[in-house]
Amino acid sequence: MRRVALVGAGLSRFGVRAAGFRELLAEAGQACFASVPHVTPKDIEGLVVGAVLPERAAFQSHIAPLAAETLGIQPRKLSARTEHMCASGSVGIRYAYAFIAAGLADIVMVLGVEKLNLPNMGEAVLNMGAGVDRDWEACFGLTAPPAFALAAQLHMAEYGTTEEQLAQVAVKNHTHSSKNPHAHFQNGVTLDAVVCSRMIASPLRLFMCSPITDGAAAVILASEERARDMTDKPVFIRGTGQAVHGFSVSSLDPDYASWPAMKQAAGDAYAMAGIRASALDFAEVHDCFAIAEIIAYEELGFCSKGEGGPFAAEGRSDYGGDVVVNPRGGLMGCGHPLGATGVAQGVEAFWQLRGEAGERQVPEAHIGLTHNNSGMGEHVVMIYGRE
Amino acid sequence: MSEYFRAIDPFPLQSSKNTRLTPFYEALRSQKLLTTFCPRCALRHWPPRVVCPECLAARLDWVDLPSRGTVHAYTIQDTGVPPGFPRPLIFAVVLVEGLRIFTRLVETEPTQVERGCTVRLCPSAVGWDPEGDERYVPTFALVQENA
Ligand SMILES: [Zn+2]
Repeated sequence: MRRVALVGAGLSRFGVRAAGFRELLAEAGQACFASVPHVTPKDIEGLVVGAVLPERAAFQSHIAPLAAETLGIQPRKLSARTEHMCASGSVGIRYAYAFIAAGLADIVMVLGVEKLNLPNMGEAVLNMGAGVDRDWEACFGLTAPPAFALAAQLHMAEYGTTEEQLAQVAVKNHTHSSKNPHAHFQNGVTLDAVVCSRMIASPLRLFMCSPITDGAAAVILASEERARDMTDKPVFIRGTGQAVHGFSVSSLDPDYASWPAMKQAAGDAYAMAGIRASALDFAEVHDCFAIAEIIAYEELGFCSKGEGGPFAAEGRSDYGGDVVVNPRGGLMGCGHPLGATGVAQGVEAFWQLRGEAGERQVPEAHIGLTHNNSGMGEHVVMIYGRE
Repeated sequence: MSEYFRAIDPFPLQSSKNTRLTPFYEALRSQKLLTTFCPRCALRHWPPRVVCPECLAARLDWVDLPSRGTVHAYTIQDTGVPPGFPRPLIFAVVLVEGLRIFTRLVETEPTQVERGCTVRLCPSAVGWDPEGDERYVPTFALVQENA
């Protein structure tokens, strides 16, 4: 297999945007091309677009050709949309990676885009139910927060994780996103404000949840040989893993406080990269809810099982700690435009590893991980490195 | 086009024109809980399956489940409830003879729910399908002796 690198990256601003689906993806695409002046849309041989809900939120399917036409790309090696709920973006990066590694294409763009906010917010909330099992979950009114709240309830009962520890994760990520000009939330939040914010699904309060966000993200991947021609600072994909253990809450691994599918995906990615967790300088993890970040510390091997709460409380996941987790502010701080999130994590890895992350730069960042999930039993892990 | 038009809702179509699981929904209407059983694997499923995920057999039997279970985990959602659903929503994972059943508790005071408490099947009507057939979902309710 050939080595594959990111050579360009760009984001739209994330938030409640006065912009349509096509405008958001155009914004990210333009920013991405601007980051790599030697590459034009006509150089792009393949395009993969991660998008989850355009059929409901934009009355639009047929997404990859729409995106290609918008950006003046005429794919000749690969054109596809990926839909894997919240992990769609990372799944798209894996497709592009595999195509290039196998020699089927040399230069592929991956876009992730979502327009979730609608004039009728009830409709926006209802649409989120399309991501769970309609017949056995959405029919009860389930969306993501209560599912992750069940994990939080069991983690608190089994390991003594506290509401304050959940809140500390939220404070950290909002502090990080205050240094991110693309983030949905840039004002930070205090511990008091988090624990006093309104209850969404017990024990998860407003600031412990990622918001409903519009946004888009883009990266360009190339074979090592082509990458060296395009940039002095390619960012290599060193490892990747994906595991799916279950879809519906009734069918997941039985202990919702443990996510063995994440451990499995991470183990495969570490093995491929030839590293251990302790080698990581930073990690962008899928903090859709604060409990998810705490469980991620454990399943990714940053601490032992059950120690995720203290790991956050002791600052070990912050600057100056063991590993900086979610330097861009994660999903809680940046927002979670479903299909864009995994690609945006890749964008952050690109900036961090090139020393271009501005105020939130992790010092001496050589290797980092991204983790993107689409439910408690479905995980994607990527490892990126300078070399 | 001035009025909001909704072509589809989050409730499954339950009539025999639309699914092979109609026996489940017919039983539910008479307050009974059924699920599928694979004779080849001697395995009960939840939720009911159209094919056994262990052996891929499509010939499955319907078996009765008890209508009572215990709450393994629960959460109460106050905010962000989708339109058309009551507030608050009480979601629970209910253990019924070793099967984990994700459901919602109805006719239940949220403050009375605890892990381990007993619940009973209490199906909820969720409105007619486009052909006029009434639909139900398998909600549960707290058994009052808990209180
Ligand atoms: Zn079987």
